[in-house]
Amino acid sequence: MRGDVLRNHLELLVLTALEAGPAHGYSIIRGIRERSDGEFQLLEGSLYPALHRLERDRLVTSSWSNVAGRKRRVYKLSQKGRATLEQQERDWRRFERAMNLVLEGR
Amino acid sequence: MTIDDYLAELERQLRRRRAPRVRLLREAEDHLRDLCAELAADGLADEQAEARAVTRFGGAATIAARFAEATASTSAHRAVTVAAAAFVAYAGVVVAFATAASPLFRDFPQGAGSFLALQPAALALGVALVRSLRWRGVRATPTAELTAIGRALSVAAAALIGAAVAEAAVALTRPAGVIAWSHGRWLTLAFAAAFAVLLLSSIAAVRAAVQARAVDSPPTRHAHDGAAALLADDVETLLARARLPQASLVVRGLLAHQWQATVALAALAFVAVSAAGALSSGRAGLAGAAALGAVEASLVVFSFAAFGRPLGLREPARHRTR
Repeated sequence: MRGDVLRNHLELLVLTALEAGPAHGYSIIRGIRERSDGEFQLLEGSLYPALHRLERDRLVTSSWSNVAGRKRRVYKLSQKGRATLEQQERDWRRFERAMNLVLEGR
Repeated sequence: MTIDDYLAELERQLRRRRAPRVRLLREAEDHLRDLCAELAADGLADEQAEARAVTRFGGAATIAARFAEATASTSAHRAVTVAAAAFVAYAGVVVAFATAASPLFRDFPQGAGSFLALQPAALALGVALVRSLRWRGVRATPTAELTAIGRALSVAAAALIGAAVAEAAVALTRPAGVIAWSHGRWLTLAFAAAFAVLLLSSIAAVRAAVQARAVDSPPTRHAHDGAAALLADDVETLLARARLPQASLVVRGLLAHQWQATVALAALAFVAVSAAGALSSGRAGLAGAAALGAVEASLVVFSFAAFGRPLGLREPARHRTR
């Protein structure tokens, strides 16, 4: 899928990936790729500006942790992030339903 | 390209856009090493794995630009909040001083600088607030809007700092016993506190302006071209959110006839200030009140002429569309 299309939904993808539990950048990207059955091939570096912005908006928190013997920045979904995820999921479902109606009417 | 070469290029690109570097570089390196190890485990030679990892991560200029964009957005919105707090603090102190030195301007020129500066500062802050409220919470604020916010905040900060410095200079150079505004210790402390907040706000404003300019590197020569049209769109969006779409017609009308609107506002200011002065000082002070009204009207016209373009309220003639 085209990167610019994905870019508009990166926030929802990241928040969804973090819903399962705290994770560092690389595992978030892997999680998104695996859950989309390889369909979502993000420009991997674009994840970090998005993560930093989500952190500044207090949707995620982060801290350095030891993961497999290496120090990494691990991100965690905040309460506000969880609420935002639920809202964005509702918005997406509504959009998806409307789009399907339009396409089925062809 | 090797991972080390890529990280060096990413650092250069981030530095060029004045974005924070340390954490992003550390995370990028971790990510690239992990990805490289995964690709090598899949059978790629080390050199190929590094090159593939770098490609998948994205061009250094693209990643740096996205990061700088996100950083500049946050800085700009935060700077607007700090500037609003600084404005309220300073205006509060000025009102307190004015009340303590009643009647107003008894020991002129103490207070004159603030009286003059608070108005363009309020206008600049208003412009920045409109733009910030329109784009707050959106993934990335457009660069043109960030530049306009940074410029408006710089104008507001410069006006207020200039006023505060002028007040301090006047207070410190007046003979003992005439300095009505600095009689009370608490007023002096409040003034010092407001001045400190103003300095913080100025730093935040300059930082936001510099980051915004650096996002779109190299900056265009006429970065503020089209800013008035963007402002009109922002106002319309905010009014639509407030369920007041009809009001946007008025805004469009004002922006289409900017000088006429400014002159009308100046006339209104003259009448209001003269009337207020005449009411408070009686018939004897009519000439003084009219003079004060004329100063206020001139200030309105001067502010629009001097700050209209940097604030994105008016545009060069070649960019106006009718």
